[in-house]
Amino acid sequence: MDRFLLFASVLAAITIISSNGHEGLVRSAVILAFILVGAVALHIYNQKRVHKKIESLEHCRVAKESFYKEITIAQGSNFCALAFAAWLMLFVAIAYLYFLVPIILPFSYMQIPDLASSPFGFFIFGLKIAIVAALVILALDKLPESHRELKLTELYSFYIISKRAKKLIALTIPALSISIVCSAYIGTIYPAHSPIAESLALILLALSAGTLVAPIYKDAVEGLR
Amino acid sequence: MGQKAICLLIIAALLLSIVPAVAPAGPQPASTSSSGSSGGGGGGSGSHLSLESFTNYLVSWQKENPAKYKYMIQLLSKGNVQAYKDPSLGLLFSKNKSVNRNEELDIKFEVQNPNPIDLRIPLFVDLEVMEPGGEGFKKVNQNSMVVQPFSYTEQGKINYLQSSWPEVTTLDQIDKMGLLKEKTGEIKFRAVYSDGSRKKYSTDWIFNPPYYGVLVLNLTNRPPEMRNISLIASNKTRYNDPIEYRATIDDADGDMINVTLHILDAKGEELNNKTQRTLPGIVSFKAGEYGLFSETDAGKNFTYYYSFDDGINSNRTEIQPGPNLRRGPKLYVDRLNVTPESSNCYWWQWYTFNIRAKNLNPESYDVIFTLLSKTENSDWRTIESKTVKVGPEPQMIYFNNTEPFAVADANATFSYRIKLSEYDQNGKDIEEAVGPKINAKVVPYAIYDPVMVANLAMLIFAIVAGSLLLERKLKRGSESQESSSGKAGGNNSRDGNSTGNDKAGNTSAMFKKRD
Repeated sequence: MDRFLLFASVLAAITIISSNGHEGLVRSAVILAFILVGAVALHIYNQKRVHKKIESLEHCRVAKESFYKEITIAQGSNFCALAFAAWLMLFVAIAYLYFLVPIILPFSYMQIPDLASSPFGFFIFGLKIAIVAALVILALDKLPESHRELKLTELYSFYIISKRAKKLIALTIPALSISIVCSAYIGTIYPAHSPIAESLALILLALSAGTLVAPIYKDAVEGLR
Repeated sequence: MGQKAICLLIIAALLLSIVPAVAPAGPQPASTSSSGSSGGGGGGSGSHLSLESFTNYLVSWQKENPAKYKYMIQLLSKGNVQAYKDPSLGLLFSKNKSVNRNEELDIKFEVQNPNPIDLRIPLFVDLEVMEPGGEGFKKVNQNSMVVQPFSYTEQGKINYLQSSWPEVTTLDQIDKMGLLKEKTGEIKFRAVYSDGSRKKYSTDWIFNPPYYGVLVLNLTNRPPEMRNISLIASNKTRYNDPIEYRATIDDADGDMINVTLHILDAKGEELNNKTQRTLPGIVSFKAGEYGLFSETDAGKNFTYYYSFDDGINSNRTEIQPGPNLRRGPKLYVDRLNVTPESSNCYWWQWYTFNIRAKNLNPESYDVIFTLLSKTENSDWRTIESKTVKVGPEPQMIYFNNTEPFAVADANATFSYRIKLSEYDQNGKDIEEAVGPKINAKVVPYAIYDPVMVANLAMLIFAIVAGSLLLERKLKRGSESQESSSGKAGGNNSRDGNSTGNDKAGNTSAMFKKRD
C-alpha cells in the first residue's frame, strides 16, 4: 500500500474513531485541529531538519533564502490551483460541519436567522469562510523569502509528491464537496439530526484533511529513520 | 447650691447684726428676754441673736408685719434682690421683612444676662404673634425654649445666648395652627420669658435692627396662574376613550393650590366638577379616573374651564372647547381564531386569522380591525388592518394568508390580537389569544430544493474558479520550478511527476533522493 495513502488513512481514522455520537463530533473537531496544527509544526520542523543537515554537509552556513530556493520543487500550476481549492474547501467544509449548527460553540450560522433563512444564506456563509481563508493564505504568501515554509501556496513544493498522491489530493475536492453537501443537509433539517449525514460529512472531511497533510507527516516520519 | 448656702450664711450674719436695731421696734417674744443672757441681743451691745430668737422673730413678723416677713423670705430665698438684674430679651431677624407663607422665617431670640452664674435663674422663652389687624398676641410655639444659667456664652461682661424655636418654620405652618385669620398684611412677633414668677417681654427693651422688640413682617401673597391648558383626546373621541385634561399651574409662593375642573354641557351649564389639591406644576384630570362621562354622553359636545385658588387669591380660566364625544357602535365580538397553512406551523408558512363581530345597536358602523402578533422573541407588530362595516348581523372577518412571522420566531409560541376601533361588549378594544408553537425549523429549503442546489453549486464553483484564478495570478506552480530549476533549467516537472531527480546539482536533492 502506498505510504501516502497509508498516512492519509491513519490520520482520517484517528479523527473518525474519536467521533462517536454527538459528543464525538466535538471530540473529532479537537483531533482534527490537532492534526492540522501538528502538520504546521511538523512542516516547520521538517524544513529546519533538512536545513541543518545541508549546513552540516556543506560545512558552512546556508542562508534560508538560498536553501528554500534550492529545495523547492515546482508541482505544476494545475496541481497548485487544485491544492489551493482543496485547502479552501477544507476550511469551508470544517465551517459547515462544525459551525452551521450549534455543536461546538453556542453560536452558529443558525443563530443568524436572517442569514439562515435567506435564499442565498448557505452560499454567502460558505463564500465568507472561503474569502477569509483565502485572505489568510494570501497574507501568508506575502511573508519574506526566509519564511517560505509558512506559505500555504508553496506547501507542496517542499515535498516530493507522486502522481498518485497528486490525484488523491485532487480527489479531495469532490470529497469535500460531498462533505459540504452533507453538512448543508444537516443545516436544512436543523434542529432535527441525521447521524448518517453527520458521519458521512465527518468521514469525508477527515479523509480529505488527512490526504492534504499526509505529505508532511510522511516526510516527518521518514526523516526520523 | 454650695454658693447659695454661703450666700444665705452671709445674709444670716448680716441679719444678726441688724436684728438688735430692729428688734426693739417689733414685738418682743417672751423667750427673748429670758434668753438674753444666753446669747440674745447684739449689735453695739455685743450680744448675739440665737437661731431660736431669729425663728421667734420670724413667727411673730408673720402675724404682725406680713410685709416685713415677705421681704425676709424673699431675701432668704433669692439672696440679694437688689443685686439681681433682669436679663434682656430681643428678637433677631436679618432677612427681608416682606415674606410669603412658604418662606423659611428663621426668627431667633437673644437673651443677655448680666447676672453672675450664681444669681441666674432658668428662663422659659416663648414666641408670640399678632395677626394682621389682631388685638392681642398669641403664643406660637408649643414647647418653651429653656435657657439654663450655664447656657450663656460669656463675652466680656455680657453673657448672651442666641437660639430659635425649631417648630416655628414658616408662616404657613403658623397659619395651620389657626393663628392667622387674615392671610396678608403686617404680622407682629414678640418674645417673652418667664423665670417662674415673673414675665418679661422683648417689648420691654429698645433695640436696633437686626434686633427687635417687636418684629413686624409684611405677609404677601402672589396669586396662582394657569397656562398650557390642553385636552388630550383623539379626534373622534368616544365617551370611554382616554380623555385627559391637562394644564400647568404656577404659584410664585409655592403654595398648595386647589384646582377645580368644571365640565359644562352645550348650553354652558355645569354638569360636573372635580377638585385636586396640588403643588404648582402639571395638573391632570383623567376622565376615566374621575368618571366624567358615561354612555349617555355619547354624541354630545362639552366645554370646560378651571378655577383655582391658593387659599388667599382665586381665579378662573376662559371656557375651553371639548370634548366632542361621538356616537359609536356597541360591538359584540367572539370566535377569535387562527388557522395555520399546515400543522407543521413553520415560520415561513401562511396563517389565516378570523374573528366574528356584530353591532348590538341596529345601525351599521365602519369598524377598523387591526391584526397584530408577537412571540417570545419579538414585540407586537402589525400584520394587517382592514375596515369592515359592522351591522346587527354577525359576520366573520378574515385575515387571509398572512405571513406574520420571521425566522427569529422559530421555536417560539406566538400570541395574536385583533385591535378594534370600537369597544366590545366587555369594554375592551383588544381581543387576544395564544396560538400554537411555531416549528423550530429555521431553513425553509430542503437540500434538494433548487435554491439549495444553486447555493452549493455556486459555492463549489466559486472556490474552484477562484483558486484557478489565484494560481494563474500567483504562478506558484511554476515559480517554484523556476527557482529550483535555476541551475537545472527548464520546467520539465510541470506535470507534477517529480521524483527528486530533476533537482540534480544541489545538495538538498540528495536528501530528497532517500525516497
